[in-house]
This record gives sequence, structure tokens and C-alpha cells, in this order.
Amino acid sequence: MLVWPIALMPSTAPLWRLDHVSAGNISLDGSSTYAVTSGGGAWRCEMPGITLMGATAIKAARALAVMMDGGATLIEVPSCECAFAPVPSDAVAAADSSVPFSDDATFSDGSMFMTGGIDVGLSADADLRATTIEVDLTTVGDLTGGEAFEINHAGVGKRRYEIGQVDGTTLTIRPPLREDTPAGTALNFDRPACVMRLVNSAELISMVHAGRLADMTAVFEEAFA
Amino acid sequence: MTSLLPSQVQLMVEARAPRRGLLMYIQGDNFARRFWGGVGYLRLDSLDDLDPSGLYTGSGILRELPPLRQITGGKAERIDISVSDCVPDVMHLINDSIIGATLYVGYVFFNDDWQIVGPAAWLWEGYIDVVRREQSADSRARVLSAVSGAATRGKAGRRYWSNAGHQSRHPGDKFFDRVQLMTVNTTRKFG
Repeated sequence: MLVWPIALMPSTAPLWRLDHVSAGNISLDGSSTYAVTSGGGAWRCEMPGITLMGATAIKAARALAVMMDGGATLIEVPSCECAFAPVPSDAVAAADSSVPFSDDATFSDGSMFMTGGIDVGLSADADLRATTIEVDLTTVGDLTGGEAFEINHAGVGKRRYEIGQVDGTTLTIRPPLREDTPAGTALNFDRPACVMRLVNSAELISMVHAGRLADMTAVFEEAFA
Repeated sequence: MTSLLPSQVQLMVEARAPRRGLLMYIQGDNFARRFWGGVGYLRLDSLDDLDPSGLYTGSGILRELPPLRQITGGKAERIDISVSDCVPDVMHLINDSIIGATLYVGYVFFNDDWQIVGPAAWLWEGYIDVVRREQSADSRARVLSAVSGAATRGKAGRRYWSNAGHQSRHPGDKFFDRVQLMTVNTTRKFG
């Protein structure tokens, strides 16, 4: 599957929004009533202001644009969550994941190779459309709610979720799980991605200025087929 | 055909923003298709009295659904349901086997955690008798036209007890042979 490159991220963070569809009316007192019919919403990602400087960047963007075939080909859109990810302290990470050389040697300062950083997985099977999941917090910083993570499902691929509430090892998440997910499945907090479809192919790349400078605005919607 | 349970009505009354999902179930002679109006997939299990094993497909399939009415007194109601013609599951509906299939329309309700409350409420049942395509430069849709009750577009096979009709059923029998003469300048009451 195509993957949106980190090199084509906008200078400001992309806007990730969980779109709900609601319907209702304005009543006589001016207040509105509504009913949500989308069943939990779908992700929408807007990336305005991607600057393409130089022929290489413009060609890369063009190549990706044609490969997406106007949205017919789905793409994994990652999200840079460095500032929000529950990264453990160096000491915790080092204690949990340090690996020496094969002859047990370490670097000259005593440190060793470190993997991953965040290690969180489901501790129990989770059903399709579950919004409460049980997790093993093996190596992770403080979870406060608001963190985004990804689950790579067997059927529907990588899907993005965000944490609403944390109660020990019980997480309340949105949107509802997209698929039955077995215990042991990893939660990826480092660079969560979501399978999406480009919805603005007609306005993707602006006119090229001075032969080598262009802007790009990409808008994606979560897609299933 | 069930209707809204008291508990479901209570839920709608209590919640200022009730969460609901529209269900559509098409049952043919040898196939069943399940769609719903939300995002992703939905499984009802035992809460679905039509087909507990089914998985409902959502995300962009249902485009438009007219208001439903429950008419008594033998009158039929026709509704048109518009579905996207760009989704693989819908493409299975292209063949003619959908003509005559039973269409059920219902709702399912969710609590604050998006978990299903109570069984699915099936509110409307009809038979699909017309399928048409609507296609433009930027839109492709398939419209399923269904009618409730036992009404069909065709007239009953023995609506007219005319000689011609009788001959088609019983060639040579002259029972209605002189009906035409009896009805000169009159209006037949029996056929």
C-alpha cells in the first residue's frame, strides 16, 4: 500500500478530525436538536501549506499524486505524534529494552542498543466497535488521554484511534474499533497511520512558481474499500 | 416486523442527542446483503432477529432514504432508496436477482459508549421491484424502489372474466361466449 511520506508533511501539523454526521432542526427557541447517525465518525485529515521547493520535491509529489489515481488507490497517512506520544523516560526505556552487542559488550559509556521506546499491547481480545480496551503498559510514559495510536488490523489495515479516558490499564477510545482485535496486538504510538483516500485530487498541487516552487494541499478521508 | 421497544423510546427521550444507525437488509432467494448508515462495520449478533450472523457494511453506501410511513388499511407505500454505485458490495446488487427480494429498513440505537442498546428495530418491510441507475459526471448511484405490502405493479391474472381471457385458460369452452352481446350499451359489473 502507498504511504504518505514524512517529507511531504506541512510546516504546521496536519488537522486530524473525527467527522460526525448529525441531523436535526432549529427549534422555536433557537436551540438545535440533533441525532448522530454516523456511528462514531470517520477520520478526516487536512494538510494545508505543504511547500514543495525544487524540482525533486515537485516530482515526488506529482508521482505520488498520479499513483493515488484520484483517490482510487488507498494510502496510509501517518501522523507525527512526537510531541504527544507517551514516551517513557530514558531510564525506563533503557531498563526495558536495552540490548548489548552479541558478545555482551556495550558502548564505551555503558549504554546499549534500545528498541522501540513505547511498548503497549492489548491484554484481552477486543470486539468490533469496542470503545473500551484493556492494555498491557509494558514500557510507556504517563497516559493522560488525548494520545493518538494506531492498530494494524488484519482485515482493514492500519487505523487511527485517540484515547479519551485512562483508568489504570483500561482505555476509553474513539472511534469504535474497526475490527475484532486479538490480545497481544500492539498499539503504535510512535507514528500512527490510517488507511485513507485522497478527496481533493483536483486541487492537490498549485501552479508552479518560477519553475521550481509550488504549494500542495492534501485532504484525506478514512476509507474501507 | 417489530417496532420501537419502550426502552428504545425511553432512550431517545432521555438523550438530547440520540445516537442511531440506519439498517438496511436485503434478503433474496439465495443471498442476503446488509448495509448500515454508519462508518465501518457493524455486527448485531443476537440483537438482530432477522439474521444474527450478519455483518453490516457501512461507509458511504447509503445516500438517501425517504421518510417511512406505516400505512394501515391495505394501502401500499413505495419508497426509493439511493445507494452508492461505487462500493463493491453494492455492485453485487446489479444482477436481476434483487428483483423480488425483500427489503427491511430499521434502526439500531447506541449508548454513550457507542455500544448497541436493545435489539434492532425493524420498521419497514417491502419488496424490491425496480432497480434503476442514476449516473452523472461526478455521481453514480443505484436506486432501489420497493413497495410495501402485497401490492405489485401487475394486475391480477383473472381480473377480467372476458371471453378472450376464458379462452386462454380453457380453449373451446363457450361459457363466456355471449358476454359481449350482453354488455352492449351497458357497463359490466363483473369483468
